[in-house]
Amino acid sequence: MTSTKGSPELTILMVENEEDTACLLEFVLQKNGYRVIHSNNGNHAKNLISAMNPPDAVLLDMTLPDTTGLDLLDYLRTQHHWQTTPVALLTTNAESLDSGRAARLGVRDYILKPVSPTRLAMRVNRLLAESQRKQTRVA
Amino acid sequence: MLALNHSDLTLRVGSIAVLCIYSAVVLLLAGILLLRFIRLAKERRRRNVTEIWRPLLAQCVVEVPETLPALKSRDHLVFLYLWNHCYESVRGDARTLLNELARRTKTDQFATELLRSGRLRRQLLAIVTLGHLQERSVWNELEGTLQADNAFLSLVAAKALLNIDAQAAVPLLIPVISRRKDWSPLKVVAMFEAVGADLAAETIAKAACQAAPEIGARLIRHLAATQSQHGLPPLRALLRESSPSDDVLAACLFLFGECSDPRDMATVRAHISHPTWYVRLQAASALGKMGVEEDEALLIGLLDDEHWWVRYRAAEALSNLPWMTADKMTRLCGALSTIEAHEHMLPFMAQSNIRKADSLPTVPPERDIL
Repeated sequence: MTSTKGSPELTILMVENEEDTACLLEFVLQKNGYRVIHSNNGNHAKNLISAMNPPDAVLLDMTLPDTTGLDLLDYLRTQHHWQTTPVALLTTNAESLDSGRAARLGVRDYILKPVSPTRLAMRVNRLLAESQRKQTRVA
Repeated sequence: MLALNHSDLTLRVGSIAVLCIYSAVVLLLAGILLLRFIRLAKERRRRNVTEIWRPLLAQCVVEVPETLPALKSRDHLVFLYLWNHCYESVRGDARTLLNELARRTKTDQFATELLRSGRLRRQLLAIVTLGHLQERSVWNELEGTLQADNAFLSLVAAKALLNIDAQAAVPLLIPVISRRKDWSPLKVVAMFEAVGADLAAETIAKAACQAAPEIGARLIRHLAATQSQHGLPPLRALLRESSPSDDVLAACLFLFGECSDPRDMATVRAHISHPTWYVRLQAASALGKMGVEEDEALLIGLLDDEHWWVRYRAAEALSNLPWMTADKMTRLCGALSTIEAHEHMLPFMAQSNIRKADSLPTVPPERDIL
């Protein structure tokens, strides 16, 4: 397990339909000090996105029962305050991704499943650190 | 009096029949209720086990707690599904921790019992689990399962053997892969995913060399999916030392084109005039992927081949050559002596002109086996 602990107030929206995987990811992220909001399908995630303030990062599964991760990301980017929210995609096969579209939609990272808990924590820490650096520069 | 007796008997028989029907309906209803009760109880138990063990399994990918809740034997099957799902969702050190959890809950013993249960679903679950646990004690049983009539069961057993000890499993698997027609080559390639592309390529190539032509050719075509060149040496030796069937030869040429190793150039060129049309076709396609400037003339020669597909693939191969610009293709087309050759070049020339006009980066046209 990485020793880098996330800041306690940092929130991650995780959209993952597999209950077991979601439970596992949630545990690893919470263990690293993040608050996790979990959504298990596209519609629920869309409702959350319209209702809540943007989290510090979004982890988005590519394959959801009612939509695809990229379609959901498309929707997410149309929301006013969500345009710069850092997003990482969870995928089993990075090669099958429409990487051009993902890049246009501002995907910052890909996390390959099966996940290594250590690497997951490291990647999320890095994603958030990069995002915070950018915000500081803009400010 | 007799009439009364007769009616009495009928009444009695009728009553007994009604009673029997009534009892049967009651029994049936009771049976349905019992089955439903059992199903609900199982469902409740499954939910309870899931609620207890799902968060614990998530915790175990980071650290195994010192004390674990008791796992009743009737709950072990549900635990096994959860454990396997969790195991396949993680990699690295987390798997070692999950193995530790499995040993502490005596999952290895439970899975070994399941393997001997004779029920297919349970056997499959047991084999997958024992493979993940790298349980050597069931090696012989898994080896026996390789010969099972059920292709799925035998493939799962092969994968488990590879997980337990890849080096020891490979010599066992080569003859089985070369013999089993019911094993999908794609599944065979996928089976080796965990042990590395190089070992996969080498094993499959060796199996293909021993196999009957129809199995061998299919295996060789799928070798490209491993993206490893380790499958090439056994195939080169096969071509050098024996006369394989045309199917195997064509598959080898296809693979040589995909791998584009210059050492195979001479072999590819040597088959450009093979008497079998699909061997010539694969040689032409391979030349399009790996050819040098002197091969252009060979491909131009194939534009006059007697077989339509060979002419088409030769034209496609010419258009794929890295130095073939739109202008060069136009000049080449103008210099062709036959109408057939000219007609085959036209669509590729058009594509090339469109690319030039749009100034798009050169993308090779879609390739398939033919």
